[in-house]
Amino acid sequence: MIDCKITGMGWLTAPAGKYSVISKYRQVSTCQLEITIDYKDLTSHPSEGKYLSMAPLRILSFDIECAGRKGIFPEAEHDPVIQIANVVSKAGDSVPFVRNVFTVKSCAPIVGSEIFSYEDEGEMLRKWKDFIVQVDPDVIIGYNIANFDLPYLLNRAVALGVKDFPYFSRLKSSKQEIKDSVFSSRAYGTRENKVVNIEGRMQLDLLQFIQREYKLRSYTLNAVSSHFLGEQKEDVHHSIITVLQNGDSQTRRRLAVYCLKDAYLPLRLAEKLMCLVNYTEMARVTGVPFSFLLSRGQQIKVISQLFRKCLDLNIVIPNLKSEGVNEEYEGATVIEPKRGYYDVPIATLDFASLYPSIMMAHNLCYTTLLNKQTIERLHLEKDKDYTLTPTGECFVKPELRKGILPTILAELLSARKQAKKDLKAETDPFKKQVLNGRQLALKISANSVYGFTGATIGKLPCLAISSSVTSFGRQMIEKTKQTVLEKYSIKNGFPFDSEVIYGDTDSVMVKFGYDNIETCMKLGEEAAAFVSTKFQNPIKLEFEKVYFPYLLINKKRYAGLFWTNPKKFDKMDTKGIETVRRDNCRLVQNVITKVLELILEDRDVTGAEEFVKKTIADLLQNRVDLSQLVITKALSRQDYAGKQAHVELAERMRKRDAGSAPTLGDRVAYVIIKTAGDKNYEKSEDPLFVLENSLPIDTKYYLENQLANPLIRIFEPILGERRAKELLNGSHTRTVTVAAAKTGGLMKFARKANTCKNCKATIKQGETLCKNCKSQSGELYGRELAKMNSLEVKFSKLWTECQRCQGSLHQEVLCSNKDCPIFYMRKKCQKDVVKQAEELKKWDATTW
Amino acid sequence: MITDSMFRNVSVQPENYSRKDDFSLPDSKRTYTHQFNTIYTQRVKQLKSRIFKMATAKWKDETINDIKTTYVSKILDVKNLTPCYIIGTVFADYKYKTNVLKEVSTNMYGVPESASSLKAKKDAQEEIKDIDVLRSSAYSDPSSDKLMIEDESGRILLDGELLDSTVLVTGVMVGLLGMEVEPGVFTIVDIVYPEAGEQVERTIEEKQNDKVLFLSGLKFTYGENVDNVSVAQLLKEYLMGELSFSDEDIKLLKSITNIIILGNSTDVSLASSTNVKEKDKYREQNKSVFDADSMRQFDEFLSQLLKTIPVTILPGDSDPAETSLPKQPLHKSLFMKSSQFTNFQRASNPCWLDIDESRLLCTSGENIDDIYKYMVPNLAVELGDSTELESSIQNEVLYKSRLKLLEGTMKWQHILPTAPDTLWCYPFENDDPFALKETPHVYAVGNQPKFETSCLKLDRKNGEEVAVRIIAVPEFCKTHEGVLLDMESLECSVMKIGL
Repeated sequence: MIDCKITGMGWLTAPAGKYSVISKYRQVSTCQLEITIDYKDLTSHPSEGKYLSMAPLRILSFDIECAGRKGIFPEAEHDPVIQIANVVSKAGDSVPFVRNVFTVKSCAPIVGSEIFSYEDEGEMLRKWKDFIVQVDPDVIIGYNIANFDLPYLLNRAVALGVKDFPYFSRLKSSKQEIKDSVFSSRAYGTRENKVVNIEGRMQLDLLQFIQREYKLRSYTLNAVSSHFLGEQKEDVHHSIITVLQNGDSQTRRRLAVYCLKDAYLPLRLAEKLMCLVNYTEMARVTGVPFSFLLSRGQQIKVISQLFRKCLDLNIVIPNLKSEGVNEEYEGATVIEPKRGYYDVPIATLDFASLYPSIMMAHNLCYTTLLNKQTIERLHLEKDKDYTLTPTGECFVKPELRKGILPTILAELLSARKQAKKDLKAETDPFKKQVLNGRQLALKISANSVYGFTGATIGKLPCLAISSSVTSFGRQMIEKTKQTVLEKYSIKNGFPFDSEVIYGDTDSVMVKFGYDNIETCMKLGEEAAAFVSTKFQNPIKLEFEKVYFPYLLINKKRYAGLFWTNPKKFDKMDTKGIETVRRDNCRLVQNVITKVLELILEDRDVTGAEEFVKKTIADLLQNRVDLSQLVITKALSRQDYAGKQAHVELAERMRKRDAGSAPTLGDRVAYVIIKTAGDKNYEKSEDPLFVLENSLPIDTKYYLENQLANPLIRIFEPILGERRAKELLNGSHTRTVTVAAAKTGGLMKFARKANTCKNCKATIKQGETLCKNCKSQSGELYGRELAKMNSLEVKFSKLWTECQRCQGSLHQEVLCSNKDCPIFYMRKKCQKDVVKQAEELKKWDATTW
Repeated sequence: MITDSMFRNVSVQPENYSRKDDFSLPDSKRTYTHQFNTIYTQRVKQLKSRIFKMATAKWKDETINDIKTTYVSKILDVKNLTPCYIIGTVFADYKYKTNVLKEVSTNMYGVPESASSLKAKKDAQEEIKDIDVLRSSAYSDPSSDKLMIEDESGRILLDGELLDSTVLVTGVMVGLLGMEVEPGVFTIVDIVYPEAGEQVERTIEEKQNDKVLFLSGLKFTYGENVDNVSVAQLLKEYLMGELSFSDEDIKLLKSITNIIILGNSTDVSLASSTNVKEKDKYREQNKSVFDADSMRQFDEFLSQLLKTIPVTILPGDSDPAETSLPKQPLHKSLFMKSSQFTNFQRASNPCWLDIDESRLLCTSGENIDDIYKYMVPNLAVELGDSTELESSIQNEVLYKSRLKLLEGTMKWQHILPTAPDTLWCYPFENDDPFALKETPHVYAVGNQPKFETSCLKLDRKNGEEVAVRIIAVPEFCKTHEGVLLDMESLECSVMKIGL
């Protein structure tokens, strides 16, 4: 590919007369057109002008359903595939042109979709293969298809002995097989994947894509669709699937509708996230084939570019054996943060593409690195002919020899500039997407060059380059700080001494002292321009934004309102704060978000305090919804050294019911409850089990281990240590009511006496109130009634919502989507309302 | 005039009649284990065959484009461009319906509902009209509203001009004639409702012009808004003959045999005393709708009336009763004084009454108020300058009359179609008590903005007709009006208390 300058996803021309078309009968593939041509005759087009457009790719999205046995995750050797739903669409079209479902046994029709029913499972698989060949998709997408759906289908075909099934690629003779591949990368960790070869059709597994590009709390299709599409999705538990399949054509239709939805969602996600467009542009920019983008890391992209450049320059790259030395070098500087809550605008000065520009400015490259001998041999002079970096490495000046890396970078950055310019001018929304994808790809590529030189287990590590880059970076941040401090001071006629409160890698935060945003913006721009002059081209300091107000908690932990124009803030920007971390329960996330909103947006610190107190009171009095308290952790390996809460729980659940217990790779959801033991791993429990058995929540754990630290961190800089602590121990924490255990040793001997609802005096059976309290009966009744009403409304609202979500009034709600925020709520409400109804009933029995 | 000297007619009210306990919840333990789909299933069971009867009678020989129409028993089996008729439950997918999922995920659940659009108006210091308040909780957005019909097999979208003149809301069961023109969209040309339930024979004897007085929305409040109470006092004095001087008046008053109060007798939301004590600041806060002082005043008011007139009281939305329907009778302990009287009747809401051999079906108006929300665009929807809505029925409901809504519930033979979708109700398992098995003689709905009445004729299969007197009873605290119903002619008139 490199020799012919062909890039991934690029356009090619086969010049007329140079090729010959192969006749229908001699074709080796199922393609529409098959030609032979000498590869040297192909013309490759760079992605410009009309060649910027996307090919009208045909995208197939599919999902399968398996009828598992009770309690066991489906295994291809035993459990049949019962439905395959397919949605086919053309890239850029909003509506798919094929929607169908292949089912085993009859299925009632679905509006707008075709149904193909077969009695025999093998027959269905065969027909599905025929369908794929016929519809001839260029891209196959789905959710977790790479590791589940595709291997399952292939294995199932083997188990059933359907020999002609695994031939749905474009090459007639190529058989689809499953291979294991291990991919390991610094950035993405180690992943084991299954790979199925489907020649001529690209595969894009949305699960892999999203895992790679986004950090989310959960990667289930439910969670992902609610995050990106803002929709909750009905979830049918796999134990119910078999039941539905064994019902009649109506129940199977229900399953088919669900299956279709799951097939359509990846398509919508792909469109929404524009993964096809962005990855296409990435492939074009870096020149690697599309499939590498998901299956390989960053390095291959840099190597590809390096090879291409070297081809132009006639340079041979040595094939180094990676040695895996673990040399460390000093990373970027972080200016020690001056923690606190800043009620004045803070200007942020950023270096634009810092590392690439350093490499360009100082001509850092493999080909420009000098050693002592060379310097002496050629009598080079310091500063005139070569640069001495702060780490003591020498690089020749660009006048003598221009490095390859700087050239690549310069090209990337200018291409990005061009793309951004085009983006502004473009009006067609689809082309806009393409251009945006392109500039993003260019940016990422430029930034990954530096990482490539520093990757010690990579193809071409060169620590001399990477350590020089970071050392220059450190120097520059330091210099920026000094320059700013010097210029903007009382000494130079400014009313305030400016202050650099924080700086990280490529940015410096400056407090000029003015409380006016406009002035700060002006000063920020001025300072950026001024500092830029002190550095070598193309290094440029940019003024981007103002934070006001700004809460600096620690290194890499801050929050603030983000302003780019003086009239209205753009958004709230937080970093390293518990709003996004996954190992916390949702309560923490919600409270922190709300508190930050109150403090930063409304400037209402008292309100925030009050809110925290109220939440804590709610928590301690068991009024917080269970779904807020659920913590999830992935069950990854069995051999943890220490005992961990979620692993222990999975073990316990397996003993209780092997069927519903989480398996390896699942995320285990649990809450912490009060138990006799005091070890945390003993206190974890399945939320559903907690609800069913009314187990008491260990609210103290949530207060002390989950809420306390993040809250203190936020409030300490504002209120001071003493008052921040008060938040956690004030009077609001006093009203702790403990739910008594229903079982337990001593309870067996206790007899329950009837007490007055109000004053707890012992009274006769059947009565509700004692004599003295009867006069207040109305009020007391009103209170009980209010409780009942809020529960009734909750119950009704929740269950009708679920009915609306599933799209049918007449059918029972089956959904077991644990990621849905109302899932536990509706379960709990069901229990509570019964209890309260009984409570209310007692009032009727009373004699008045 | 001395009260004791007043002699009144007594109406015949049998202790037990067939529909007395229609809306009582089971005495035994209530269960909430089943879901709401069972109600819809029961609704189908009770109404589908009755719709089918009417549909076949009407459309058996109907043709569209010269093609004979056929009955399609499953909505899924509707074929493109083939005229047919179907029966199913309507579902309205409207933009501004309450969405608990949104509330929960944005962490707003339990936060008192203050319609943002209303607040915006308040902030802009614009005048807030009654209609704005009503509209702020409405569900409709005419540009995105979707009406569908569904049965056990599936759903299909509805279209057709007929929709602009017909009241249809979630939960209503109807038969529709039309055809699928675009895929997945059923264009309707005609509509039928269930056959009306049988009506009990009314033996009209000499009734000496006996009258029943309907009241609703007295809204006793203890607080700044004392006006409500003083007008009610005036009403009481009038009813007891203390203010009447002409013989005609006395004659009229004497003829009142019953007072029926259709809900919202107290209202604490009007009182401003919502300050939370420091001690209770961190306690659970469920808003209680009970206020001891207003209740005591109301009890006093009732007990005086009861000395001469039997009173039946229904719980309403602002009364201390359960929120979900059917609302059970107000608790005895709330009426320390009135409970002593034997002519005091606490009824459920909705309820059936049997007075002088006429069957009265009464509600406190929640059902109509909720249907109203489907018919009216939300305040967030700009109506434009024309103030004319595209749909004629929306126009009528918003600006003129709610009668169509009341009549609708009779036509549908279902008084609470929007429960459980937007109106909260108990998850019945083996019955849908709100589907009518019998057609009442009188149908009275409380707490409506103004007095309206009509006599609606409903079809039965064999060409028979049954007639229902429909009454919208106005909110007393706003209009100072009650409605007198003549038990012989079933004619209505307004009784207004002037200040």
